[in-house]
Amino acid sequence: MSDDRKTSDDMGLTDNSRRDFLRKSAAGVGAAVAAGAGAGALAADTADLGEVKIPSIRIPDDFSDSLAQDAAPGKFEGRGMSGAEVFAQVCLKENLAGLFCCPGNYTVINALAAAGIPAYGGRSEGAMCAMADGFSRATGEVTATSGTEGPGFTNMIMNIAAANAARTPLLVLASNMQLAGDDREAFIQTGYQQPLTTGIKKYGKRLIDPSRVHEYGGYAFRQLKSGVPGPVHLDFPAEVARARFKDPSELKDFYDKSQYRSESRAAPAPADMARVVKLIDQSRRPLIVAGQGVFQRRGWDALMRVAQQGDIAVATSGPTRGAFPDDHPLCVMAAPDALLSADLVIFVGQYCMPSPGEYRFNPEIRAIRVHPEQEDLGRNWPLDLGVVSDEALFLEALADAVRRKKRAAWVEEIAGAKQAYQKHLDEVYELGLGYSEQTNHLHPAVIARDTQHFIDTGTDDRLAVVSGGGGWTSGLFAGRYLRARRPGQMIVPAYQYGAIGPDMSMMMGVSAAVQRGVGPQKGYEGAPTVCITSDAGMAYSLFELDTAIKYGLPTITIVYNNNAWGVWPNAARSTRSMHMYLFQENLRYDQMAQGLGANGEYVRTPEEFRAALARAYRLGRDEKVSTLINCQALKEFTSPRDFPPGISLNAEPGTGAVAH
Amino acid sequence: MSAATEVGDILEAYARRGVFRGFSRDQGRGGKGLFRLLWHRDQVFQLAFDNRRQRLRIACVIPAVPAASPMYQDLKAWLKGRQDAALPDHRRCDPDKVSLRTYNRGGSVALTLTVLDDDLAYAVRKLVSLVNELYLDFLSDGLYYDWLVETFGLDPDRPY
Repeated sequence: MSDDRKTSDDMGLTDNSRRDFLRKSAAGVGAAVAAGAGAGALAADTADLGEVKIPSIRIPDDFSDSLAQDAAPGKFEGRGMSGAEVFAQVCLKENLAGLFCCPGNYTVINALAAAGIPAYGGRSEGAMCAMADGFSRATGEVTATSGTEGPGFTNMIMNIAAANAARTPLLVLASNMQLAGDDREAFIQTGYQQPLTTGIKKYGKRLIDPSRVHEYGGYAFRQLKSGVPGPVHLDFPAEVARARFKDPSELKDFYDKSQYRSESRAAPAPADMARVVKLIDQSRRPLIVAGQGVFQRRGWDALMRVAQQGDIAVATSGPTRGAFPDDHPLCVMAAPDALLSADLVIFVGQYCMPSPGEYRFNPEIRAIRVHPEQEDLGRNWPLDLGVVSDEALFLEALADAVRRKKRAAWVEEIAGAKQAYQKHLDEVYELGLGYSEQTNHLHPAVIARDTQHFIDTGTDDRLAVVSGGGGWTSGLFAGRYLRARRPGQMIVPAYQYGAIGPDMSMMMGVSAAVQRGVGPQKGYEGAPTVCITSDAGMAYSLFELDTAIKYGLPTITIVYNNNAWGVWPNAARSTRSMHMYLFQENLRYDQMAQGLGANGEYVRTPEEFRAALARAYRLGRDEKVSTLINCQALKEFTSPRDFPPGISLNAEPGTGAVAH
Repeated sequence: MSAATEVGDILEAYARRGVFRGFSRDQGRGGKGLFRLLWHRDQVFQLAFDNRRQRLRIACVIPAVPAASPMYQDLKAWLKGRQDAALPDHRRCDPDKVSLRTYNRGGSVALTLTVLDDDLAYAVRKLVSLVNELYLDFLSDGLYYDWLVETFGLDPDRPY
């Protein structure tokens, strides 16, 4: 880099008038959205950049006007209902929680929005798909994502796969040209979609008979709301979406959801429950691993009763954390050494099943697994007992059946393991502080620990802020220090699939859930979400700051900017390879954020970081403005050779678990 | 039942419960037995039992650890810590019941456990538990991340 360029960059750091302008601009837009004011009020805002006056970033009047309009669902009378409107009616009656899309599949997304389903339009289909996934991970609700046939749909693929790995009930919608154009390669975007989602969906269908559009809506929601969830992919040729219906008799199987699917759930057999209770009685150190199914089925209250009655330890797993609070004396999420002492594990709703040796258990441990579908019992992990049951029903039955028992030695051992782990975390944090001071760059342990410390001590309510962490180095450190203390308080964006990049937009979807107070997010409306992510991830999600600002979804995105893909050590001893892992150094993601109407902060020291967090929180809470904090770091922090201990793998299950 | 059969039966029970992904036994003469365990990091561990010496030995419990390396010193310290009286009984390797030794031949670390009180089942179970903890606990330290990837040829994106 030339000296001139360095000088220019340094000047940017201290160019207060420009930064102030951008900040004011962003705050103005955010305030307008929060207050529902017409953005026209801001039309006169201009900035003086040197000799040139340019208009401020603003939200168009049409945007706000459109959001303020009343719902107008389709009806049979008059012009009749389109196929898309019939489908939208199904979605409305099924309480589809939100649609996250980019334009394309116009007939369908317009019908869903007109029906009154909360809809969000963004900048890329992949990121919007991650947003839908994030909303669902934070609530357990069914959400939808949509894109145009061809380019839009294929852009979604990575994040459909991530949702599939997380067992998210995600409705993937896409248009698909006209049936009449099949095989003609007619312009544009023709393609067979269903084969492309093979292996990354629970169910999928190309709708070809317009009269069956309601019926297939039923198929979709039956799959989304029964058993183990997963993505459902429907593609709509124009003949189906645009078909017109003037009378219910023109639609096949046009009946209510109470008839096309059931809310009945499998209850545990009494004989199975007796064996479960006996195995727990025989155990000195029992442990429940509460998976995604416990969150999906909202079994957390029963889980608490079971744990407390029997002094049974609990770990949670899955893409959503907090079904059991990390700071409960029986929680072993931050007590990795205690995991190795458990002599009985009860997997409840563990959809993504590890193999022995992948979880930090001892070889003597006995295993029970509770799962809603019989055919999955015994997969990967040989069982002492398999129980077919809905997760919540099982926990409720167990709460009634388990004997009240004190296991003081076990509780004491858990407390000791927690203390030892906290001591280790504190030592790594102190090392990180030292490295930060020594290099004038922020170490990831400092970022992660100080973020949680700020949530705990610097916010109005430490339960309100939902956090999530992604990236390689940043994600591994974030997992260790971030904590979940109530259901849905933490999201694991990289869960199982390991996608780098969707985390930022996923947390914007979480923000939508928090702002609306959906499901377990009720009562926390207004709080910003926090995402720790990496510079590598920026390429996938950064532009959605525009979306977050437009819709008033306050997010605080903390970018661990180490100038590289975090996996750069893989090139360290390989000739002519390193260049593929590196970015330009000192890129200014904060300035890019400012250009998108958000607040941008640039920090290099712990003190600057803490101050930036406080400003970001106030902006998010008070003005619904999102912030990106660019934490300048060094790639060498990843390496144990340069800055020991470098990265280390987190215990599974545990606070930093991502694999299962 | 011979002592070697007893050892084999205990190990086979672990295999049935999925602890080992593969298992075979080769009972030799003179009270000896050789057992192959497909286990952590998809390695085959060869466990030899010598009844006369009351000794269980895994010839290579962990590869590529030079004898003069800090890692080897750390490993020996970690193993010693497993015998600490402060550990709960279910986690401790009782020095009154078994003795533990390591040997390093060209970087291959052998682990030997000698039965001191005729409680062969205890010794077998402790050996299995020790190796399990070595892989899940000792090697999870960030200092050994690069070593793990290089030694076992792991996909760095899937080091678990």
